[in-house]
Amino acid sequence: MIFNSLEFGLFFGLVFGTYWCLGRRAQNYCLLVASYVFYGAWDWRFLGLIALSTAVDYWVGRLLGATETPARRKLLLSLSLLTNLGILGVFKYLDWLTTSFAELAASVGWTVDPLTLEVVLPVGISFYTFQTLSYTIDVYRRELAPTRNVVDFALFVAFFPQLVAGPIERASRLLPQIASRRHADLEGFQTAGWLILWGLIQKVVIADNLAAVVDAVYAPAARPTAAQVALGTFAFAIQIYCDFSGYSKIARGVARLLGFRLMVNFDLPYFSRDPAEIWRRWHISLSTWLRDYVYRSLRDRDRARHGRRGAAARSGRNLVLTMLLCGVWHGAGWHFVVWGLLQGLWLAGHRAWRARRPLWRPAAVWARQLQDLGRGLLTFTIICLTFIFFRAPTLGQALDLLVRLTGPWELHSIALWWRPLAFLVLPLALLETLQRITRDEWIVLRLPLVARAVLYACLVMVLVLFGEDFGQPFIYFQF
Amino acid sequence: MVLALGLVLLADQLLFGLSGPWRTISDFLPRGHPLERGIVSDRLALRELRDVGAEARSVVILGNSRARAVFRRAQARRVDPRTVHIELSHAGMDLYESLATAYRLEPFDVDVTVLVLSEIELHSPVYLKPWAGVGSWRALGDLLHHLEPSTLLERRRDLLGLAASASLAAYRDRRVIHAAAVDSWRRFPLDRLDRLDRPSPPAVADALKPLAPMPNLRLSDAERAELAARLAPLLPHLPPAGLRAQIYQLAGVAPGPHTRLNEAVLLDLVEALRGIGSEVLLVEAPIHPVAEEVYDRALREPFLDLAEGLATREGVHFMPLEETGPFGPNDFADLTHLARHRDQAAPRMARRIAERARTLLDREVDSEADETPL
Repeated sequence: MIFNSLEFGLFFGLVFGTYWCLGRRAQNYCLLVASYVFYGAWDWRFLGLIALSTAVDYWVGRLLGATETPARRKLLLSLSLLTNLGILGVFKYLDWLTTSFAELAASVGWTVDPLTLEVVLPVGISFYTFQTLSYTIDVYRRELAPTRNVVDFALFVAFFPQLVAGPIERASRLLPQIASRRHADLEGFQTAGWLILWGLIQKVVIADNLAAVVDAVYAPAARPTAAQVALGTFAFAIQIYCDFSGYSKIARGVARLLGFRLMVNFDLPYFSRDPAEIWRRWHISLSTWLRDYVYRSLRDRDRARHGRRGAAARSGRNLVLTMLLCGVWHGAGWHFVVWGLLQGLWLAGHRAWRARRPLWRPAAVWARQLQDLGRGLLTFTIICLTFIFFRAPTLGQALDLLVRLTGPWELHSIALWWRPLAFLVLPLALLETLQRITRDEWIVLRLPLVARAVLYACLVMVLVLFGEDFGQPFIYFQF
Repeated sequence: MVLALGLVLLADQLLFGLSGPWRTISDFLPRGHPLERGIVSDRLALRELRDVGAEARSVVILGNSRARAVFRRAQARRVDPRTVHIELSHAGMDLYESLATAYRLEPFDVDVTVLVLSEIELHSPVYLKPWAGVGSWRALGDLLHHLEPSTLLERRRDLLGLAASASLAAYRDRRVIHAAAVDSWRRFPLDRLDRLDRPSPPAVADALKPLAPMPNLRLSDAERAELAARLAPLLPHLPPAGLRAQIYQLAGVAPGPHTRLNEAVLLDLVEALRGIGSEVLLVEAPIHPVAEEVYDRALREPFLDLAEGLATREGVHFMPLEETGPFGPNDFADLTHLARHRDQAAPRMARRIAERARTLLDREVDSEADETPL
């Protein structure tokens, strides 16, 4: 069951109607059942994995709250890490690792029959694993008191608006909302309406229509021209952004209709002027998770061992390691590893460069704006280039496409692509530019009532008429 | 949001209601979209029906492309110039869609409705298409009433699609709008990327290859070769892909739970038409003799039984093939359609249908005259 399906519309209508008729405690039971139904609609057997993860982390949390012995606390944390990362490893990475090992062995003349499970990847497993891990680590670090209520905790793990593709919520933010009374308010509903509508436009109209050109350029047997690779990759940058940020917006909107506030996951990332800014604005819930639980852990360990000596070099190494993990989190494939590595090198290189040569800023406002524009365009171009590794199904094809980019451009081969691209991308660019200039995410909600109603009506008609068939899955479900 | 919803419904009515710009949309529709062209032509026909005066006599022909193939308006006009003949028929219109269309006829004055069907429609699986010509909550209600709970669950997505299309014409008609305008506007021409290892166009003989794995068709090699030889003359009129699609379609004609559902929907359809005061003339659609090789023609018997039952219980008038035939192989354009623009069978059949409809209309006038208290 996915957000952009009529089935979800019916499901949510029933949940919404029932939910607001109940008291707080019953509301949580209602949401928990709804969340399991929502997830079970894909494959009910994978509910067992969520239940296992929930049970282990609930009890580990309780036991961590009851013990002060460092060794025992470490043991409990290890149990949680082993269980959660073990499940993730087996279902997501085992086949890739064993197959890669067999290929490596074959290259030196040693034949190995790889052990593979060949099971479908449970949808959203990377998201809920990281979410539940954040709870245990926070409790271990004594940054969060463990919850005693198992229903609240189970709902924290399985809350359906963000279960399968985030945002990866922190327990410190979501658990208090689960534990307290929610209120239906008109402002919240208006906000939710806009988030859901624009999220659907991003997904069903922009991302799904762009998929046609992206899929063609990245088809395994395609032989695109340089211009087609460039425009196809640009289209992919827009597609994946609209697909994922559209999902996040719908998730926020759906949660808001239930009285919850989920974190902002995308903050106009393509207006970023350097790689660090990109990762502060793109998939914020993952990048902050990696920052708090991986990068800072590595940094604190280094500080404990080496103090401030060689901090800059170690910081660069830690950035690369963190982004490597980020790449592997996205999928089991060497092209994701390379993508993560490139992101890490870019971040570390940029940080080292800036440490030596701080950014010079001109005095005149217009000159600063021009400088920002240039930096933004450069950053966006580099993002697009790294996306080739993200989107290509194999490392070999990614390299082939990069080589093609150096070939003749044959601009006539994309002569007829401008019109549909402009039609799909310009409305998005216009809205986001306005949001950027005014620094107001809710600029549309500040329009006069009639203007807003006309805009909404137009968007609904656009959604119905120009949307690809409802029910296309979101890209991030595969991660 | 409420105001926006109101505006959406208003725009939906203005753009996709009966008074919408269907003539313009029709002009924009490229050739090669028979379904979309049929849907638009039905809208224009409905508008024509709306404009028919209360005194004029009207006959509506309802059905799929087979109905379209057997009826020629010019012939009918020659037989009965005083009557307006309206065709509400397009490719793929199934019994459910006919039912939805029948409910749409309620505000109009329809004297006779001609249904063109055969055992193919009775025994074909039910396809629930959200892009069907018209939407109707009443038709959907009738359908839900007939479905088993397990089928309801299994087909929930299709049913939700039907509900959406009954609520919002823009959703239902988006396929037409895409064909008329959106596709050419938003499509990325991918010709150069299609330099993939594309297979060469299938040879004519390849059209018959898929016969082997079809579930309801068990033919030996010799039987398949014989069938191929008999089908060969059809190929100049029908591209191999089209012939293959028809063979698949006919191979799927078999009795099953869908037969009962089709019967129930047909009964609802007849009741709906009788409810608006229309006489119902059920005409059996002819089929190419070779098609007998592809499915069991004994399935005609249940259809004839059903037609007789409808005639007895519901006052339906029935014209079996014996009244409109005979039909030879040369009368057909393909396996299931009469050749509309050549030979004599289609004009002959159109004439006979129009004559029978005229008889019904005249009888109606006579009975009305009998009721006059003078």
